[in-house]
Amino acid sequence: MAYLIHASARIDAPRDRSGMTPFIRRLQRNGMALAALSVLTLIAGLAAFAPLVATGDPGAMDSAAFVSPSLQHLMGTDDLGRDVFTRFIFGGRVSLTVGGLAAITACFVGILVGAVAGFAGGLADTVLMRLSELFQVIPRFFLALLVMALFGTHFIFLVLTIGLLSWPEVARITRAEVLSLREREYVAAARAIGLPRPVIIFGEILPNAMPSLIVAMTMQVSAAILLEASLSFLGMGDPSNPSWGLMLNEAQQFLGRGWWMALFPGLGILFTVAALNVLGDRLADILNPRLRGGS
Amino acid sequence: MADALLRVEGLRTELRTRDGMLPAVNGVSLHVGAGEIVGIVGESGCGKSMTAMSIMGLVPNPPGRVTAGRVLFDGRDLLQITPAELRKVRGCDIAMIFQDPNTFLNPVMTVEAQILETLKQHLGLVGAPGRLRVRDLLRRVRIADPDRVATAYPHQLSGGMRQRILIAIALSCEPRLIIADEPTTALDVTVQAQIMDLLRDLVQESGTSLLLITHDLGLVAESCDRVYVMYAGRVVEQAAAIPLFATPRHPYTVGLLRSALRSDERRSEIYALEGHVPDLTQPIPGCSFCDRCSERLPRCATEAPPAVVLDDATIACWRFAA
Repeated sequence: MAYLIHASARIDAPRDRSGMTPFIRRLQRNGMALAALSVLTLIAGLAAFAPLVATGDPGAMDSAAFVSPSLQHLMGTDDLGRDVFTRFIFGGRVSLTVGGLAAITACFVGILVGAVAGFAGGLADTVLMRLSELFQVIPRFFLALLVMALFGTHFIFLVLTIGLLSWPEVARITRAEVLSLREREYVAAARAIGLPRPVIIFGEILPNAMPSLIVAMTMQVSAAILLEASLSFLGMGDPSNPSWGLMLNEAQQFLGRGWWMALFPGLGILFTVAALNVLGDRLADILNPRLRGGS
Repeated sequence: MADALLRVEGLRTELRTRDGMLPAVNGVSLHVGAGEIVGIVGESGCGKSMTAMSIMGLVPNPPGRVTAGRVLFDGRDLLQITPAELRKVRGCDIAMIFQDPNTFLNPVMTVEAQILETLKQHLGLVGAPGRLRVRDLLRRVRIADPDRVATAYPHQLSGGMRQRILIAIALSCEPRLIIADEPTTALDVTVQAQIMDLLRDLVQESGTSLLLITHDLGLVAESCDRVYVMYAGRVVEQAAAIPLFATPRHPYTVGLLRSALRSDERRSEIYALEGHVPDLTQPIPGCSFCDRCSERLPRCATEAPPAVVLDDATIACWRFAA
């Protein structure tokens, strides 16, 4: 029988098929998300191109101490005569890198643990979830303090400590998603095709969990930046790579003489974290296929 | 039939429920020959789908478990082979087509990506040859513009199109047996006919066997060579399709055929089988249909009827055992 079925009338406008275009359109309709994304792009851009934006050396003490903000020193100078603007730009680089890397670590471990626990169920699930609870009940600062005391305050340990403290949240979200998605019929179909389990978990199930996971990842970055700032503020940052948190720590004893030392890194943290949270919040709506209009 | 492609013997699949073990499939034996189209009919919950899942080794555990029987495919017992071997059989030698094409396709993957998965898994086909093969398959399921459909997502396609995609996936490795579990139930009537025509054509083109599981008697009458009628986890009657519809023997088959609506007659009352399917968690010593049977004999309640061969048919009923 040679009848043919024409699908053309059934398929929506072809530009929808790229997947990316409707995403950008939905983003544009969402003013807050767009604003947050712009702020983040600006901050990330400044951090990425730090040596081009601030030409000086962040450690150079070549000016008078406590110079208030002026055209020459946009954010003034600190107690040692270092340019706060230069330190702000380079500090942002450290904060974002530590936050980003720590979030990646947390998401990598969390997604792996959560996916395996959710898909395997039974004993594996019990063991992995109890383990994640163990990490959640340990007081964060106590563990961070311990790691820093044992291994030193190097940048890498900061990243690993924050990652180690944050993965359980990602694991729980992933597990919850996988638990519901593994009962979907296309997963049964994938088994009937004879696909091996890793392919089913990472090829079939996880892509469907991406909307929630992307939101969780965004939140992880902001939480990691905050945690890094808190640790640095308490003096557990890496002094050779000053971050915004470390700048706040240095500024706290000079609040009366150089308020600008604390204000700018504080604002940096505030805007970054707020933008990430807003974006994460809005992404939940934007990525939710049930709330997608018309596309 | 010694040359049967698939031979199921004494298959028993139990589900653990709150009220105890429920034998969803209770000693089912059936066979499908090469190139044959075989139907399994019965009402909801009679164990048709569970039989298919058991053959494929896809019974969800817990709560289900195959507790007895053999599933011989080409002489190999699928219940005994290793999971890795079973994965090779699935999708490659035996493919499955599911009821609802809306939920059995992964919503975040393009049609092409989903077909490529099978090709990659079983044939190692990737890249350009794989994509070429995808278009080939789409053309085989009579899709006129494979390029557009290949890059579409399931939600951009109609139900009938999606069912064609599922069929294309099933065909992708040239399976020797296709198990179709209610392949047309979720579709419009007009599309149903198209899909069934397509399935029949493809089976004839390739010499594949088809095990068609359905509650639609019309579908069985049109398509199948041979039919198994299931009730409460057991096969009650087996016969070639035409004689079965002409002269049904088992009282349940008679009732099932009477309750089917036909478009060429008007009835003031729709016939319905009286009573309900028995509670399967309680052991049934006799015939599982005896509570609803209008022709029951005294021994029906106490002794399970043996399967009796009559002409080319097999009937499990005391009326024919004498």
